[in-house]
Amino acid sequence: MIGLVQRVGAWFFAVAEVVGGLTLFTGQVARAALRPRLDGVETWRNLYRVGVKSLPIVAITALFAGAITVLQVGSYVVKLRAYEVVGWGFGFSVFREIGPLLIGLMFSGRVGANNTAELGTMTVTEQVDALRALAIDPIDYLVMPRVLAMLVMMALLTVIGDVFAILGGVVTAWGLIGVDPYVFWNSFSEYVGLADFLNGLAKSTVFGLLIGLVSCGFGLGVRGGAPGVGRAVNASVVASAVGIFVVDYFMTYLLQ
Amino acid sequence: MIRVEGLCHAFEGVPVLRDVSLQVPTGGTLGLIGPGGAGKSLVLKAICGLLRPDSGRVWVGADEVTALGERALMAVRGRIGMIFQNYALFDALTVGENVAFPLMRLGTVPAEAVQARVAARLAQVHLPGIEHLLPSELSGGMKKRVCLARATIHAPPILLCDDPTAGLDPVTTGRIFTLLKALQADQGATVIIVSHEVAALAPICDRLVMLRGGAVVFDGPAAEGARAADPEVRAFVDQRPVFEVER
Repeated sequence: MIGLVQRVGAWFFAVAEVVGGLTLFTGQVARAALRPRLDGVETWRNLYRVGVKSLPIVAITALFAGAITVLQVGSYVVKLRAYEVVGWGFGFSVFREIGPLLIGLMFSGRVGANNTAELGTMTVTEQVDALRALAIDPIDYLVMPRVLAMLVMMALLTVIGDVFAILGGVVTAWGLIGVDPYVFWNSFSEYVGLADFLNGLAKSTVFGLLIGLVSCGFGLGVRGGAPGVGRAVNASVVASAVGIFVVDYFMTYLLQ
Repeated sequence: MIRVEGLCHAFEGVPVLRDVSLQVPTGGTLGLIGPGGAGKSLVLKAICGLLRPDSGRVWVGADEVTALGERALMAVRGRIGMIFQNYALFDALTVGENVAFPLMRLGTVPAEAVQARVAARLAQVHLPGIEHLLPSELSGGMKKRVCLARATIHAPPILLCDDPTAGLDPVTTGRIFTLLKALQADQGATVIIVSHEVAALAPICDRLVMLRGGAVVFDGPAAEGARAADPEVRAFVDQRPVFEVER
């Protein structure tokens, strides 16, 4: 019994340490954001690396997410002959939920993990100390461009992902359950509004900010050499994924 | 002048610096020696403000580093060049970009003059024409010399060198110490060099300070070290293997 209490207590303190550390780190980033001193080259490099290089994987994910959504509802649509609501059901779920959520998780796995690994390696090889020794604030030079790039690109990639999801949905609805693209589009455009699109966009922007802060926080907090980098990458991906679901829950509730 | 007074620090309860005090006059060169884990690198990091000691005070010129916040420390660090033990070159940047980095960030040299200055500094460390290479394409000795070029390109009045010759052959070691001496003479910088190569280090230093177990066990000219009462100090200064030391 005492052992169980000790384990629960240790787990509680470990979680509190991570949450506390990330909160303090977020405060530092927020303070830096009040007097932004962005490095242009580093910002463009990150926008390219985070955005352009993620495009293929986001496009493929969104294409299949759209197709799978239609496939899931396909049998019910045929059974109920409710062809005219496919576009609405698809658009509502993809724009508001599936799109931002799946793209956020993919983004966290690809960009967030990569970012933690890069910053973690820089930390253990004293490159971050070298920056500070050169009178450069790592928050300004390393963190701000990355967080900004993730925030902006996550939103842009969600817009692009929505387009690919619609494409996947239309093609699947037409090819596998016989819904004419015109009927699909009519239902989609009639019932799915700007609010649904903006709802998803707001979520994805917050997810991008969350992934940026978590991945940078874990990267700069690495201790213990190469094994420490591995642990930080693992923890960063898990924390981002959990954070995405928790934030999604609250945003869904608030934006209803 | 650099002044360190009563520096103490512990990691998870284990003391790593015990009441360390030392002083380097402006334009002077100090050699910091001692066995591995003695706390030499930590002293350099405390001087640069990269380590917040548990107690003790550090002055760089008129600035008390230990009393400054991170923002105020930036101004002090702008006057310091530091060579790291493990190179700490920026992997994502080329050699040219690494060396140009302090100049680009400080903005004290016009952008069009930076490349010429980088080329000249690389030639000075006997590495001409390697601006386009990445750090991963360099040998250990080349990386150390690139570090030296990066740390000195903005002519800082203070230079902190953490084991600039670790793992290098004797010829490259001699070349790096010669370069350091030349740069020190050229720029009139105040220099602290951490090294185990005492035979090569002693001739270019005004004084040696030896740390053992986080405490200062010797502070004086190299010649005095060779006659010190402590046998380990004598062994270090004479570079004799430890089995020859009478205990």
